[in-house]
Amino acid sequence: MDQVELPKPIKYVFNWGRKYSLWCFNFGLACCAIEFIAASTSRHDFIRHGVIPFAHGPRQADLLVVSGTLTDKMAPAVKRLYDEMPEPKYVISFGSCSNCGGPYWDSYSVTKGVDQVIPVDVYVPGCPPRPEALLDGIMRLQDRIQNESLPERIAERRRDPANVGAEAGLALDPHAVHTAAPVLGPTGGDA
Amino acid sequence: MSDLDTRERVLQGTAPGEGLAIELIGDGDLVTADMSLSIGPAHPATHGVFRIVFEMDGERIVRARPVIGYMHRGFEKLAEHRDYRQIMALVNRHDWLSGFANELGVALAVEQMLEMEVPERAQWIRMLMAEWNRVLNHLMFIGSYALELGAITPMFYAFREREDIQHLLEAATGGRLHFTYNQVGGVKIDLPAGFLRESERLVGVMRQRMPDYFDLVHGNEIFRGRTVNVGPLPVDVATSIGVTGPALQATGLAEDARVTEPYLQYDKVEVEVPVGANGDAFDRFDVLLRRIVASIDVIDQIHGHIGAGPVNQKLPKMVKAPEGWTYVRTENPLGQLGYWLESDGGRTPWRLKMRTPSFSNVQAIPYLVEGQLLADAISILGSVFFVVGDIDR
Amino acid sequence: MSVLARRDRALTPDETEALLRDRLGDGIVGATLAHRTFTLHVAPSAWVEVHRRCRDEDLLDMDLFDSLFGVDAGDDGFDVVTVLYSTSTGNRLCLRTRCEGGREAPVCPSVTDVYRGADWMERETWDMYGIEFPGHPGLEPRILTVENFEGWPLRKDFHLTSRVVKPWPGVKEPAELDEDGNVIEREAGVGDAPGPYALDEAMAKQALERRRAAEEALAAAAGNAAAVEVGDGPAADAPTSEPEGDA
Repeated sequence: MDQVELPKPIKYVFNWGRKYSLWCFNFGLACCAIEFIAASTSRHDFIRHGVIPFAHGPRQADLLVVSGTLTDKMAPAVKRLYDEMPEPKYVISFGSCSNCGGPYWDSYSVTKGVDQVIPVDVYVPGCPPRPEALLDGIMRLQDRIQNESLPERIAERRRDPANVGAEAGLALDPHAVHTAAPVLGPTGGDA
Repeated sequence: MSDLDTRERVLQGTAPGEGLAIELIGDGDLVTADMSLSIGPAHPATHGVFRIVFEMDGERIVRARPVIGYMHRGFEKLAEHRDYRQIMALVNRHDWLSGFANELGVALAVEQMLEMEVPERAQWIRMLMAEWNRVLNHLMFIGSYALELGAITPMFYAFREREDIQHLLEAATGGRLHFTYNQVGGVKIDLPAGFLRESERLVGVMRQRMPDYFDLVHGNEIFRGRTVNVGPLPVDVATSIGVTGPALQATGLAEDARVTEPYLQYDKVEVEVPVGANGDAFDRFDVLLRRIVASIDVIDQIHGHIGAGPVNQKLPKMVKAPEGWTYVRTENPLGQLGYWLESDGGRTPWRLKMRTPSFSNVQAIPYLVEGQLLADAISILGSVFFVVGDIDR
Repeated sequence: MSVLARRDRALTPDETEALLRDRLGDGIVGATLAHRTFTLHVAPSAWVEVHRRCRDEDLLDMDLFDSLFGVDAGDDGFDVVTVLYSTSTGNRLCLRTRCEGGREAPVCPSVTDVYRGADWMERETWDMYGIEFPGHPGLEPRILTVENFEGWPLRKDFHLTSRVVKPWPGVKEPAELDEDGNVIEREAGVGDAPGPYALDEAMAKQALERRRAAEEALAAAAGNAAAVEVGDGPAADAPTSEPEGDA
């Protein structure tokens, strides 16, 4: 399944099944975890999107939702749990702390964004994002899953574990360099 | 539990196995080694990234060592680089279930240093928001404590109430979790029209729904079996460690900053402080549940007191606290929150120390857990209500 | 003793100071009462003793251990402050001492024998300031930061690297407003992140230069077209890797 490109109709059904049966390992770190839990309870309810929140552990999970501030002390644990998840796995970074460090951008003990440690598929901005924003993020991830080709994703991941963008059909500039310090002119030029 | 004594039993009679002599040799112990079990930091039974290392002899815990710091974001250092408006937006994030109460402490500290008179309407609004925030916080813990013990339904009930209250607070402040509604000298903006009417309606709704919690969880014999006489905390140990809030009130001491050292206008309302009997897990939960009822009563009284008037005052372009220091203590939902604000006359604090209730409450965990069985330890861990951001700041 | 049972017999700050001076003599070096906070300044040699007296003296009865923390005192070193509270009288007392050893090796006696809550508080103070507490059962490992963290974060000479490397490009920064709250204009230096409008200007300037360079290269190539050369002159070095109009 990870090496053979399926024919289109079967691939459609296959991806449709995968996107609506995401088992989520809720890696709640901080305040965003409260909004995550609120998104899983009756009023907002992301279970109706097929995302079930109570995975028993990383080994049975497809989706990792990192919600909250990632500190340097916690970073090895995230990496380890992410590595324990079997492919295909998706990561949603929920909240501005896990997107980029958020309000703690100048702290000495905060990792400025979970994407410094693990590759992220969808970023949901906000501090904290509303539960509706999480639902939107889940739907975008589901669109991605619907349109992606699993062999390409796995091959891309084997080639470069940090890159998840290119194969999902989004118009990412392959020459854009995502460094921490911005350079003048986003299209690189000499970078 | 079972004593592994030397025992010699001789079965006699007409039952099968009669005449057999069964003798336990030695003192009944198997040859074992102590096991070190690390729970966390990412564990469903702990509230967030809290790690505790148990050294165990079978099922019994010999030594417990909590490891904290997984949510240390360097708050106190960041506060030294931010002025008093920026601090307000950041400080509500350490105890993330009681955002308003955190901001309130900072505002009170700066106002105390500036000797600023806060308009009365603003004080009543602050009290109203603080009490609704307290209800929000306690509802969360009722849901999550029951979840840890295996009961999934109370979580959904608790969040149903939380959504209603958050909807109400969002109408006034714009935030569901982090309100940023306080400012030095009052609150940011007046309440919207219809807010008080909606608040009164919610008081009625809460009063109608609280018996559900008492029936579902409080009177449930499985719940009681897991929490009664589990992890008792004596008063002298609690005060020596610095435990405050529901955990201290459960030991029998009615120490509540709203009553013993009233701030805002708490001396004009009657605040009931429920106490427990022997400080076990059930008492802590019981106190929490009754605190919700007490807060609803306080909110009802506040409705009668809110009058008209301004809600904030004109501040200078840059708020500067004078030289010196001050200490302000408020009753946060989780316990007593203290702010030591030391200023050198500049725009940013020289030192802002946050004395957080969870830091002291969690310090009591080794005392409570050592000697208990692992299943009881989970019950105790949940009953010492803490928020990890509050421990580590 | 139940809460506030002895509130009517609570000591005033002057009486508290008099009582402790009577017990400890020169251990008490000063007192401050400002902003509704009463603080006694204590010599380090009397630090443990004053805590013991506060706990055991019948009139003081400070049973609740509120907090212990450090404060950076500039060139003079570091201070350690404790806050004690009595549930029976409702009195609060702050005790403050200047650690011996200056900034190089600050040291303060440990009060863990008197109050159990001082255990983690002193660990945190050591983690943040590097103040040693002889008599403490075990300050290591570092309680809040990573175990192999270098430096003492809350000291004033510990600078937040993020702020040094990349100053905040916005303008509502405390350091960038002068006395009256007006914005101080700041020239971005090399390595600084540009502000929001500076970025637009920089991009426009770059686009202009690129276009000028491309035109010059075209003119040069046209000039060289007469000479018989393979067309990999200067024109090929023009930055063509990025698509035009990509912002």
